[in-house]
Amino acid sequence: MTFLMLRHFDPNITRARYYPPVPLRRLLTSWHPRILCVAMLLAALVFAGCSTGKNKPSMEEQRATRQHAQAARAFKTTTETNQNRITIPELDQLIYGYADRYFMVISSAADAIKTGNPNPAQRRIAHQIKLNGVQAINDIVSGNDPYAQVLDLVVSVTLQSILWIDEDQAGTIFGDRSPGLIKAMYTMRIEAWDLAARVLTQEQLEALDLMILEWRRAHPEVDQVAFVKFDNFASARSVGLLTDIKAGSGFLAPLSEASQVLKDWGRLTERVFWYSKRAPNVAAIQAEGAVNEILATPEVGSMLQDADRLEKIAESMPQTIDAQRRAFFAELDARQTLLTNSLTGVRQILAEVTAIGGTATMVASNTHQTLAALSDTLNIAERVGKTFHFDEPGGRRFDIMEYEATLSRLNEVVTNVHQFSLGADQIAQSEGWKKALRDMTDATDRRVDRAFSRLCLALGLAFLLAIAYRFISIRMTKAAGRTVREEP
Amino acid sequence: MNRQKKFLLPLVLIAALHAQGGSSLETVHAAELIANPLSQTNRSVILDEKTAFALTAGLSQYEQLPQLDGKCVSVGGAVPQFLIYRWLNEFTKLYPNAQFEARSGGSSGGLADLLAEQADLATMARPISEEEVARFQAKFGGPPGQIIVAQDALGIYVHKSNPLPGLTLAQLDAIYSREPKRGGGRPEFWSDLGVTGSLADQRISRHSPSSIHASHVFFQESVMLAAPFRFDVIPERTPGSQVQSVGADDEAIGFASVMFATARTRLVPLQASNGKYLLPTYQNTTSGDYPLTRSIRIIFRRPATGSMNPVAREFLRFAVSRRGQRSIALAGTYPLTVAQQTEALAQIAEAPTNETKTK
Repeated sequence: MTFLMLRHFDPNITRARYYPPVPLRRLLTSWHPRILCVAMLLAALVFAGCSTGKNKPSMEEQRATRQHAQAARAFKTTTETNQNRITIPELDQLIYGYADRYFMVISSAADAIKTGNPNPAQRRIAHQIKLNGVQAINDIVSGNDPYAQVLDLVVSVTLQSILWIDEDQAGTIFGDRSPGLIKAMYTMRIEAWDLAARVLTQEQLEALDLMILEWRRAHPEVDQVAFVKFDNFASARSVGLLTDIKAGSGFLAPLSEASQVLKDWGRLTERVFWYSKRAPNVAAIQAEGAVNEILATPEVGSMLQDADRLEKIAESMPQTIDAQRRAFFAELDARQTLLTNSLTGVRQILAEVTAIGGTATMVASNTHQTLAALSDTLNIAERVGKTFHFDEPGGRRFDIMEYEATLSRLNEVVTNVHQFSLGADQIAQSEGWKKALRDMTDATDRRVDRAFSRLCLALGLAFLLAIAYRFISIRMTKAAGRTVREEP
Repeated sequence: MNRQKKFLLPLVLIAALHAQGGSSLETVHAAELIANPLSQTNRSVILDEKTAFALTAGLSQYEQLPQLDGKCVSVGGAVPQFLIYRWLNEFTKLYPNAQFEARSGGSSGGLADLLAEQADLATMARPISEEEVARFQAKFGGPPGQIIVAQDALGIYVHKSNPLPGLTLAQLDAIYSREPKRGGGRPEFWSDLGVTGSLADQRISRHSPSSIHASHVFFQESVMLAAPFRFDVIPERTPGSQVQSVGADDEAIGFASVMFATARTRLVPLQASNGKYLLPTYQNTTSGDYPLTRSIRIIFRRPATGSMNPVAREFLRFAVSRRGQRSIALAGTYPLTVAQQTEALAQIAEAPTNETKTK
């Protein structure tokens, strides 16, 4: 405007002196606005001088006057609002505003629960609250019937607040993280009823409140309450209330007066425009919700659990393998030591037995010789005795051979033991025994190898599943992003 | 499963009390609550289905007429109209040809419509005043008929984490009244009511139904002795939203019918005239021991000449019957005693009838 005025008052305009149109920003930095500012300052001083006089109110008085005027305007607005019926375009704007605030308040509360929350179930449910709520409210707002819109809005928001606050689902599910959501739900309920109070009479509000309460008591099993509409209250009362409102019993224009507005294309265009602007946000929430839902399905959840488990196994496998090897070899060493000790013991016993056997043989031989000598002696004595007839009547005749036979048997036993000990020693030292030991060691080694082969196989499988998991995640994230971009 | 457990809890409690030789629920609560106020939940106050059936077993059953035609209009307060809706769900099935129109209009509005012959029945959550009776006599030449159709109690709600063990009427008056008349002091913080812990230093947040509700008027007259409410009392549009506001704010206190009890709130025992702290249970309400007991009434025209609307008459008979009382007992209010039913049926029978007249 200023720029045009300056051009207009240049009387000697020529092509050479003509100032082409310049942007306002450049103009403000040129000399034109400086002159203008000086002129405006002078003008202001002149006008200020005109207004000064003996009756000029003080600054305090001016401020008080302004405040009174503001208060009067506010009071007038309030009384006018209460006295007059609200129009459908006004109601549309109120509903749009409410939907935007709902998105902001509930999304903030849900995001606060999700932020830094290590519990995936809580994160998913919080997102579900946001998704369902925003979808339901947007669905209601994009409807064409303003009477039903108000009722549906109140029903949906009130049922959500009953579920999460009155029935304490928020406290049960989110625990210490619930206060934010509870406050958000409560705030939006109050706002929804404030909005409804612009349209419905107090009696209608109470009737609606009790209808909602009764419906909830009759349907305690319904969790997705955000999508419940007023039409679901299939009773004579609900039909009667809607008819009542459409007949103009409340503060909204009756249907007969509003029919022209309802047919207005401008209203439809505005609704489409409003919805299309918010569609990307909704789509983004939907995409994230879809990913959450896919990840939460039992099959995918099981697979991811397996992958997680295997990933953990894979991460801990080197330590596990090392620990198992150590444990195994420690046990093997202990057994080998035991075996070696046992064999040593056997050898010692065998050596001792051998020594005993040798001694026994020598003793036996000596004894035999002694006995033989004794026998000769005795034979001589017997012959002497026969010569002298000194046998006692009834007495048993002394027979040295009994002793000899006993000693012979003892000698056999000792000899057998000796042979056995020699045999055992030979077995321990034999190739067969050594082969058996080698076989046992080989078999043990094979078992160890098999065990470690299995571990290696599990390790490989774990890495494969981990890679598959990464692949699925990347694909789903990309798919989600693509869905968002493709939304109008 | 969880719901079933909650559902069974009062039954088990009642059974245990009966096994103790009929000791009252209140006695147990009084002792228990002083020791641990948070042990009490609203589930011990609300009737479950089995208890409701047991309590109404002695009431006489409704005898259905072969046919009923005509129209009846009912206008009244929110809570009574809620009961009307419950009865209508069954009544309209019994008599599909009968038309019934139920409107919310507040207790006073219902009475005004009755006087203007715009309604056949007016539902009220308070007794009819002498002035209102006089207007009836002036218009119709006789007092209106009025029957009690349900028992209700005004519960004092706090957040479920609030350890407040109980309140006297003087304390309750002091919390809400701008000019306390019972000498309960001027409590501003929860510590002024004996609450300790983290809540002690928090200010009391006062909630109330808006002034058009019968419970607001009833509380003002019964507790505050008609003194005005404090300026900082937060009015709520509907009783449901008021109880929810208490559940959403751990510093809040509010009052509403026991039928609005929720899982996030706790009903506070009130000191009765005998000194005991009582909860608004069925026994305390029907006996009148609980200080804030009220009856839900239906007022009807009883013309000296002419006849009573047959649909209205049958509806009243159905409402006080065993079937009707069971229906509302499950909605959160308390059913009539046998004596109250007998009295109500006698009142209905006194009204002249003409079965053939339809409106």
